[in-house]
Amino acid sequence: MQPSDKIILLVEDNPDDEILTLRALKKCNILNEVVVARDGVEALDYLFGTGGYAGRDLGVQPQVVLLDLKLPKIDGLEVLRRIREDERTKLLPVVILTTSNEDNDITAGYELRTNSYIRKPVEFDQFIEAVRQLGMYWLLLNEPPPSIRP
Amino acid sequence: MNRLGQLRRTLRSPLARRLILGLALFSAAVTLVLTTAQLYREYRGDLDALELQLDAVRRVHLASLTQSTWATNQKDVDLLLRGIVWQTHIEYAAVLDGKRVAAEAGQRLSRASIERRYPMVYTHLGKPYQVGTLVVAAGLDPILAELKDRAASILANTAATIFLLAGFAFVLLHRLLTRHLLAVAEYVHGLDLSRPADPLRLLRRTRAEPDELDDLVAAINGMQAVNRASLAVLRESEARIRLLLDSTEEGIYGVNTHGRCTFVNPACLRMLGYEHEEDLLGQNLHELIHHSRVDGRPYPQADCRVRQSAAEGAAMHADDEVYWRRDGSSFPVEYWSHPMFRDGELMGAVVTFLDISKRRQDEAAVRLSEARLAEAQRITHMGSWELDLTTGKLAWSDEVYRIFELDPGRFAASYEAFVDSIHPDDRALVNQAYADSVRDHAPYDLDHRLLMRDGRIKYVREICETYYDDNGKPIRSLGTVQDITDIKQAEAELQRYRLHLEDMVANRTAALNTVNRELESFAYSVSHDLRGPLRGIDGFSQALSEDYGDKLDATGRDYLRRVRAAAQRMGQIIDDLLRLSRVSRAPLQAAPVDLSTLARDILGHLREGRPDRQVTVQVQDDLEAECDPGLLRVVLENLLGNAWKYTGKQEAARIEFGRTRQDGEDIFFVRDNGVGFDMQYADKLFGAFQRLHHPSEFEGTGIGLATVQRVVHRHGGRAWAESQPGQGAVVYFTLAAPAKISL
Repeated sequence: MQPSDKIILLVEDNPDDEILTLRALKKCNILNEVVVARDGVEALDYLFGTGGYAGRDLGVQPQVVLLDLKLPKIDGLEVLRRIREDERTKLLPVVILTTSNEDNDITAGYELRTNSYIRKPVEFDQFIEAVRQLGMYWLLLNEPPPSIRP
Repeated sequence: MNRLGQLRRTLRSPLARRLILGLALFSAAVTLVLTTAQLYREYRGDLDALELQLDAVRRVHLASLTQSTWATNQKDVDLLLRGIVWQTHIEYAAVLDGKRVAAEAGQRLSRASIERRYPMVYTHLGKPYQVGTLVVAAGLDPILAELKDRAASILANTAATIFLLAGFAFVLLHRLLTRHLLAVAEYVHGLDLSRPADPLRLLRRTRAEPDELDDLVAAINGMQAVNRASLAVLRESEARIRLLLDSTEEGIYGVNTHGRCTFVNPACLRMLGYEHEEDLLGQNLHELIHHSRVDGRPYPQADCRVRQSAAEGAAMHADDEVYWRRDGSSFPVEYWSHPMFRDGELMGAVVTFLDISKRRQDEAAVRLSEARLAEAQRITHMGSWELDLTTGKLAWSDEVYRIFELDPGRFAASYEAFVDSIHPDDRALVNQAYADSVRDHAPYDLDHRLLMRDGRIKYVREICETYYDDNGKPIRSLGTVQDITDIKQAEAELQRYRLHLEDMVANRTAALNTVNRELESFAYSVSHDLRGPLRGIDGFSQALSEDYGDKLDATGRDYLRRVRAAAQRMGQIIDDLLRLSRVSRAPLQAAPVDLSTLARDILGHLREGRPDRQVTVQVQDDLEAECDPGLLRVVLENLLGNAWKYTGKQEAARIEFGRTRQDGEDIFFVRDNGVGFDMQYADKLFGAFQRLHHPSEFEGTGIGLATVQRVVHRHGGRAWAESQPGQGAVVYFTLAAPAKISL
C-alpha cells in the first residue's frame, strides 16, 4: 500500500485554514486524499458512517486525523472524546492542530489521549514546515494500529 | 623605794595619825585612871596606917602622959613626948593645958598633916579631972612625896609602853591595812572605766580564809566589773541615741519650759537651714521657726502647741502648720511634741517634725489623679468597685451609680442593689462567674445585661479580680463595670454591615469571576479567532506572492512583504498579550528555584539562535529563590532576551546576572552594556506597549517588561531599572520571602 492511499481527515471549520492546510500539504508533496470535515458533527459522521456519510465503508479509516479544537456544533475535544470512547476508533491517531496554546486545552487534549498537539503558527513558512513534518511523521514513519489499517 | 613612799604616805595618813593619837590618849587615860585609883588606894592605906599609929600612940602613951602630967612630972612628959615624936611619920606632939602648950616635941614640917587631939583625963578618987590635951600631928609630905615619885614612875613606864605600843600598832597597821588601803585608793583613783585594766590585786600573801581586805578587793573588783558593764551599756545606749538622732530623717529638737532650745539633731538643722547647733541652742525656737501661720499671720507663742506641751506637760500633734527656715521661706510641717519629765518634774518638751511638702504634693497629685480617674470613668462609662470580703463593705465609684442609675445620696452600695439591677436572665450567670472566680483564683471578664426600671436594657462588661491573704482566704475583690451598650449597638451595626459587606463581596466576587471567565474567554478568542485571520493574511499573501508574484512589480511585491510582516508582528503581539494574561491568571506555585541554572539555560538558547554574536556572559553561582519556576522563566527570558537584544549592536557585548543584598533584601539584577535608555522614561519602561526604541532599531512588542513586573508583583517584589543612554542598563527585581507571596 502506497502512502498516497492513506486518507487524512482534516477537521477544520475555517475555510482559509482549510485552503492553507491543503496548500501546505501540496507544497510538501503530500498528495494523499484529504477528507475535510467542517464541523465536529461532520467529522463524527465520517468516522462512524452516519449522517451524510451513512453507508460509507467503515473498513477504510484515515491514517491520521488533524483536529481543530474550536469547531461549530461539537467542539474538537468532544470529537476526540467520542473517538476514544468508540471501540472502532479508540486507537485512531489524532493530532490536534489548533491556534490555541492554552495550557487548559493542551492538558485536556492529552487527557483524552491525543497523539500529538501542534499549534498552528501565524507565519505561513513555519506553518508549511509544521505540516511537512506532520505528514512525514504520521504518513511515512508512524505505524498505525492494525485495527485501522486499510 | 615604793615601800618607803608607802611608809611616808602612811605617816602622813590622817587615819594613822588619828588611830595612834586615839590609841595614845586612850592608853594614857586608862593608865591615868588606873594609876590614880591605885595611888589613891595606897594613899588611903597610908592614912589608915597613920590613923592606927596615932591610935596606938593614944593607947600606949596617953595614960602615961596623963599620969605624968597629973603628977606634974615635966621630965617624964618631955620624955614621953620625944618617944612619941621619934616614931615614924609623927612629926609633932604636944600637951596642951587649955590653950597653952605645956610641953611639946618635934616640929610641924609638912605642909599637909593629920592632927589628932586626945583629952587627958585623970581619975582621982573616982572623980575625973581633965589635966590637958594631947596633940599629935603626923606629917603627910613624905607619903605624898613617895606617891608623887610612884606616880611619875608609873607614868613614865606607861608612856614608854604606850609609845612602843603605838609604834608597833602603827607598823602593824601599816603592814596589815594602811598600805593596802593606800594601794586600793591609788588603784581606785587611777581607775578609768573607759579603758581596760587589770582587776585590783594587793601585794599580800593569799590566805586560805579571805579576810576583810580580800572582801574589799573582791567588792571593788565586782563593783568595777558592774560599773564597766553599766558604762558600756550606757555608752552603747548613748551612741545609739546619738546615731538615731543623727541619722533619722525626722527633725528632733528639745525645748525647756521657757521655750529655749536644749538640743537639736542634724536633720533639724538641715531642714531649718542652719549649719551649727549653736545657732539654735538656747534660742527661743518659737520666735525663730514658728512665729507665723501658713498664711503669714503671726502665731502668738501663747497659742503654740509646742509651748503648751513644754510648759503644761501635754502631748501635742499638728500637721497644719509651717516652720520657717533661716532664709525666711517656710515649709508645711507635721510635728509631735512630747513633754519631758525628770524625776516627776516637767523639764520641757521634745519635738519630732517632718517636712511634709512632698506629702502635700502627693496628696494634691492623688486628688488630681482621683479627679482624672473619675473623669476618665465618666468619659469611658467605666465605673469601679471594691468589695471588702472581711467586712462585707462594698464601695462604688460615682460612675457605677450613674451606670446603675442610682442616686448615691439615697442608695448605699450593696450587692443586693447590684443584683437587682442585673437582668433577671443574667443573674445566675453573674453570680456563678463571681463564685467561680473567687474559688478558682482567676479573674473573670463577663458581659451581661442590666434591666433598668423603665425597662431599658443596658449592656455592661464586668472585670473582677479577687485578692487573697497568705492562707488563700479571699479578702478583697476589685472590679470594673463598663457601660458597653453603645459598643454593643455599634457591634450589632457592624455585624449588619459585615453581613452586608459579605454580600457585597460575594456579589463582587461573582462579578469578578464572571469578568475573569469573560477574560479567559476573550483570551481564548484572541488566541484562536485573532490568530486565525492573521494566518490567513500571511498565508494568502505568500500564496499570492508565490503564484502571482511575476504579475506584480517590485512595489507590489514590497507591499505584500509589508502585509506579511505586519501580520507576523501582530501575531507576536497577540502571543505576548496572551503570555501577559497568563502570568496574571496562572496560579502561583512556589518552589526553590535555581535561578543561575535557569539563566544559563535561557542564555544558551539565545546563543543557539545567534551563534555568530560575541557575547560575554557572567552568571553568579547558586542564585536560589523561592518562587514559581514557570513564571520566573518568563521573567528571565524577557530580561535576558532584552539584554541580548539591546546589546545586538555592541561588538563586545556583555550580559551579567547576579544578586546583591541591601537592607537585608535580596536584589537580583540583569546588567548589560547595550544601548541603555534615558532615565526620564524609566517610569514608562514597565507599562504595557511602552517602547523606548523605534521598531526599526529593535524589534519588540513593549509587553515584556510589563510581564516581568506583573510576575515580580505577584511574588510580592519590585522591579526597577537604571541606565544612561549608551551606557547599558541594569534591571533589578526582588522577590519577597515565601510567606509574603500572595497566591
